[in-house]
Amino acid sequence: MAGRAQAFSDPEVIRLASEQFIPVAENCSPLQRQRDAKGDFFRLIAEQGHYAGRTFPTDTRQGYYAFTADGTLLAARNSRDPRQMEEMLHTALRRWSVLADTDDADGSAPETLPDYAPARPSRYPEGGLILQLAARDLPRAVDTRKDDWRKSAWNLDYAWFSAEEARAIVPQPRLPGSRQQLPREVIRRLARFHLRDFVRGEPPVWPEEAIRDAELESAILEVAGDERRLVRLALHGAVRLEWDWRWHDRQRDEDRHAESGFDAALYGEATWDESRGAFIAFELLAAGPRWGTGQYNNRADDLGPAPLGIAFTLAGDEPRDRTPPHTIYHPDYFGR
Amino acid sequence: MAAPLVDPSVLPQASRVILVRHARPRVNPARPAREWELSPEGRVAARRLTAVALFEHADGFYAGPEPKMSATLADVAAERGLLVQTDPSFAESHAEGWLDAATFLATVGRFITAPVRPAAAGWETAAEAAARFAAGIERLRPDHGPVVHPGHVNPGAFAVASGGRVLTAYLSWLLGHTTEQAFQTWRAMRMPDVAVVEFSPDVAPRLVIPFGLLASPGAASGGLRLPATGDAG
Repeated sequence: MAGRAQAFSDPEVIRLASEQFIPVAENCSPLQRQRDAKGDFFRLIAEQGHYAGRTFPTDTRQGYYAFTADGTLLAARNSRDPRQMEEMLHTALRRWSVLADTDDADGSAPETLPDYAPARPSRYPEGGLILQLAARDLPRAVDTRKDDWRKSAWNLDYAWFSAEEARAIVPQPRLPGSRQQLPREVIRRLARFHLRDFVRGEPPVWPEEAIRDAELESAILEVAGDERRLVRLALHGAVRLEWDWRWHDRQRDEDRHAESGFDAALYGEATWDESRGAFIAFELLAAGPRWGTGQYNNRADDLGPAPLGIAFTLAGDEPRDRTPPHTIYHPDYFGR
Repeated sequence: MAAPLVDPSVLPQASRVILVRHARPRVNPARPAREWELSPEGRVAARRLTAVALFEHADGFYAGPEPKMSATLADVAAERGLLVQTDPSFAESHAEGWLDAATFLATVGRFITAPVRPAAAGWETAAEAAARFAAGIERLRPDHGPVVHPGHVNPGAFAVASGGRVLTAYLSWLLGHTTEQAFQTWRAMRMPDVAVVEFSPDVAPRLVIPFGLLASPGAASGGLRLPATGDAG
């Protein structure tokens, strides 16, 4: 995400990538391990690239890869620097021209592609509640943060809830004044997987034991619309998460830990369309002090406590809005 | 901010060898195969190897003494400011005389299925060729140690260009291939072609990228080969 904030905000990088390449974004952490044709193809490319053979300090293959459709890597790099990205793209284009200049093929696509059996079938909840999250640091009275990209960092994610879970958010009976706690599973998923500090990087998933308090209530404000089909809700609650993260820093060969947490108040409004069986509006804000750091969320020099805000809104209908949540492959995401 | 000093003893001591089968030669039955140069098509294919980013990892380029072998890697090495060093360890398995296509294929079949017997009069055995080749690899590996970057470590790597028979024999011996697997390696190989083997202490050598997987970096593009799910990479 740091790369997106920097390298891919550069106009020249955007121009090159969009005009001269077919851009594809993928989550490499599961991709580099999944046992199917897609995973094999990524590993083929990655083992030609900048992290080929890497096992120390981790085996990540994250980065940017420019490759041909048949799996030949032209250039690769893992850098946030837009000038390095630009150089990488130009290297790839130069090498592509070498192939093009010496290729006597007509460039046609293969006539058939093998059947693809994904190791991880899509878990997209058709007809469910799809939320886009945006996280950022909120203004603070005394700001001691370094003046670099992290000071204005923000990040996006998605949250998925099934159609049944979405329907269960709306209190019964469908009358003004009706109120209820959201289903425990909905609150649990919000707390563990989405009330995380992902502003600057990748935080771990909160364990169940980190949930010290979690309440989220919906209350019907109004029922309106033709044939009484629009139900307007208020959302109100609080979640407190605390955990002592522990990890081993392989580069320093040190055990490290950080007392961490997020004490969030939640407020929002939503509109449920009874005739469609879906939300047509949803806005929820979680805000409050966060503290600590994880191994990979880039907070070691900003331990807080400091205010964090996470906004949940309805996702759109673009293909990008089917992007899975960052933690979708966690075994607990859709409940145990 | 300077990268933290890392205790060298914790760094993985892995190395990789990029094996390259030479590009297509100009066949001249009047001359021994070991003297053949690259054909015009072969020279074009060798030039195309400069587009393959994989070779960025190689800090050494070696080839058997046959001109077609060093010529296959010459452009790639030059792009990186290096020369191809010839080494007799990486010569193709020795063979005598000119064989017609059918006889040649049958002889290669015996070379693979009976590695300790000469496949024909004057032919080096697969076992002898593999041992010679392996000795060359082992002699060079210490010269190409892990590459330490700020924040991560890559295995050291060097490239070796040679012929299809000795490469098949070497891989079969190194990886403990069955005869069928050895035949698969031989059949999958194109001109030129690229494979990657990784060596790590206390772990069996691993074939990271087999021959025939990258749509021949020196051939016309347009064919998509999806690898079989398995240990590739």
